[in-house]
Amino acid sequence: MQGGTELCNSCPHNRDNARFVPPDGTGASGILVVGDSPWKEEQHAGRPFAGAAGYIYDRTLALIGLQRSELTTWNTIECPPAHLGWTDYPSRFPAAAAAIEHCRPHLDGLIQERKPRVIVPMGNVALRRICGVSGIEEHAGYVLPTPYGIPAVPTYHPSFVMKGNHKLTPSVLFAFKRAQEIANGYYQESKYELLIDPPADRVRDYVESGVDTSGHIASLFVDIETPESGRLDEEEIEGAGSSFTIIRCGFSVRAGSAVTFPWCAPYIAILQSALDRSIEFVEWADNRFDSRRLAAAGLRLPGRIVSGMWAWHWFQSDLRKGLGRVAPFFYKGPPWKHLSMAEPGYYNALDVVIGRACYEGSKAALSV
Amino acid sequence: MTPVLEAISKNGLGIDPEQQKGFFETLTRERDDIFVAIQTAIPATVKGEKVWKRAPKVMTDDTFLRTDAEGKKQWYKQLPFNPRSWPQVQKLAVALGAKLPAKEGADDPSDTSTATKALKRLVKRWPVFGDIIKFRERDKLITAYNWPLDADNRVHSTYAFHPSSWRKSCRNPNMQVIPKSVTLADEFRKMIVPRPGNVLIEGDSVGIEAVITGWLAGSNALMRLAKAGIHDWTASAYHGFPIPLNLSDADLKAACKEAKAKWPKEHDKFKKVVYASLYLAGPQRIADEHPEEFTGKADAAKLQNFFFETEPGRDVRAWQKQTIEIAHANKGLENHFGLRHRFYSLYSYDSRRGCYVLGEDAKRAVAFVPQSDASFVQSDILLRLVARDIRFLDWLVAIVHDSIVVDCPGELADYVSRLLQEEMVRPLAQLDGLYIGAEIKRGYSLGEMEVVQCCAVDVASVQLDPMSATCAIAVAKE
Repeated sequence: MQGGTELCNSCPHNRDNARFVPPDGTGASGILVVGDSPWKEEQHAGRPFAGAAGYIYDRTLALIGLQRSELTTWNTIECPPAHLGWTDYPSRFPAAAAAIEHCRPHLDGLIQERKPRVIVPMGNVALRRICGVSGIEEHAGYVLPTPYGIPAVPTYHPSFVMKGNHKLTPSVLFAFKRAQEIANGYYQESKYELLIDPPADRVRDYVESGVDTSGHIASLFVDIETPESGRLDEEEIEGAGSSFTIIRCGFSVRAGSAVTFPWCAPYIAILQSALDRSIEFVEWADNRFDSRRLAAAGLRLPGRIVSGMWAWHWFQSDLRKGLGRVAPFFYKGPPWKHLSMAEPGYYNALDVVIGRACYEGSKAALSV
Repeated sequence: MTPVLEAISKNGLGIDPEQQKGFFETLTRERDDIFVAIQTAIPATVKGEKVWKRAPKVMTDDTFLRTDAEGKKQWYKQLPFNPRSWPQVQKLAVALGAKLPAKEGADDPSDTSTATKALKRLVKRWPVFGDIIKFRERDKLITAYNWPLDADNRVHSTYAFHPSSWRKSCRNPNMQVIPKSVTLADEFRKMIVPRPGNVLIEGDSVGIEAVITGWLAGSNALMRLAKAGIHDWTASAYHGFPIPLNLSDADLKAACKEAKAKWPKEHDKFKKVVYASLYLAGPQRIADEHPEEFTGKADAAKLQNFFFETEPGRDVRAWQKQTIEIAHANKGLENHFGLRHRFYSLYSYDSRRGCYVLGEDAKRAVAFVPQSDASFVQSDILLRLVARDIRFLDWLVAIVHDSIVVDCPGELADYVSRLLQEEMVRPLAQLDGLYIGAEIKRGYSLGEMEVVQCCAVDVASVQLDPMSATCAIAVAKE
């Protein structure tokens, strides 16, 4: 190994023709970017993110006024993998898992030395290494905890973006903006007023708190749960599901707040009173998932029916439209979509309050 | 638009169950015959085998016994060649010595494409590939278009605006892929019928995207020719007989029609070249997608270069360059209905060549405004139709690309045709008064439609549409 450390001598993946690629940048911004592994171009240049992926990386940073030298940029493993895709499947290539594990002290040492304020894992390999979770699509843009006690904002790897996924550029830009916010100390997790299964009187008071002087609720955001809704993707038309059985409902009469309750009396009557006073009925899905089921349950929906998803689609027409994918743009916190079974009340309340934030955020962005 | 799209979904498209049954039975029979014919042309080495160490429990006539290289007995059955399987088609090509092109973007050159366009190149020398194509065509029609019907023999799709350009999407099933130009398309379209006593009326916004492209490019020639027959005009010019552009619209259309009859082959070729060229497709792609019409890249390049040297072609080229520049500078484009689309990869650095080349988003950016505007124009037409007569909410049954399909009572056919034509040619306020041509067809099935002459609409007398989309939807809701 050329330029390797003592640790490299005992590495099962150590090879004579490989070159140890050191970290790049001063890290003055407090942001540590972690990629996958150095391939041919990186080996040649002697720095992470060179070649075509490096071009995309630099271009992305330039778009938000960041310079590579201000960041610390490094990889999960510091020498080239056996082949492309080697590190992507640790279960299929146990040697790759061993190499990643062996290389761990390098990155750990760097984190200890530079003490970054935020880590940006780029791609699935880095996400697994830094946060211990998989699924970059589900986690991109969220703020996740790490074992280092430093928050992480995962995003897509430039190599993935350049292979027909340039439309994800806004998502990558956004992750870096969020990272900047954390590094500069401006980040504060979203705080919401959530009323989970409160007594009926408390729900009535909540409805009253959203009524304006003319006796109307300007915008009522509603989200219902059916036995299968937790597993459905709002983006897919096939995700409409067949069940019309409502098991839970949540609504929000004003930004930053939501109430959720099981689908039973007297809550249904309170919901109807809110619906009667609402000017606008907002649901996230574009296939009238909620309004159709509420109407089928015998409720009147006199207000204008609006889909939050369409507002988002008009704002960012090239990005995915499921609430879980849109949320990081308007919500500061960890993912919640996996809680549908474990904490149905909390899940529904968050669906409502974050859905509303996404709808209002999209509308505000469009009116600028 | 949602109430209108929901109404179209709810109304559904009528299918003649007898015709459907007959069509699919014939199709299945034809497919099975082709399957048998294919088997006779396949070398035994290509066919797969199922092997048993012991005698299989169910012994069929095509199960045989043999002794393997180690002297052990084994039972085997030769499996038929599966034309749906791409590895088997690849294997067949290797066995016959036919060279298939590599898959688009494949790192490994041995990863060859077995797509129809790749197989079409081999048909002349190895007719079995022609049979495979025919088999696939029928198989696709059987599997993809055997739609589930409701009690009234209607099929209900769901329309929305899923594409990033807000063009209309259609799912479950997708009506936008009703075959139009492939073999059997007419037979298939004959299955689509109106309600009893009704008639189907199809309004097609003729060359809408080309007209908008002409308008964007500031090319009066392209705008007029897109309606009159750009392919015929180019074919005529190619043969040294350019049709003068100072003719009236009617005369220009008649002259183009004459040219089409005179040079039908060139008409077909230029149809592919012109539309592909509007959105930056290169000669290689044109040749690849239409191997039956172009002998190769050079053939397509010759015609494409000719088009770009004509008056409309020159304007298009200049507009394409300008559009990419604007999209690059602004990181996006906005259509004439207020939709902004972001583009980030208009140019990319080619490290092999050491220079910047057009990026992944360049073609999308060029196509965005014409395609997106065309979809919004169509939405506007739908909203205006509903605003003029609320019964359109019951009559509208499908949107197929630039066409609107209406299923209305026979006695109202003239009235509906006139309304459809009036709204389709109405000048558009958002596009500075641009008007799009309309072709109205009528018939008792989508496969047997006849162009009808509605009362002539004097475009100059039709006022700019004062009705905004919001206003129209309010009227529609009432």
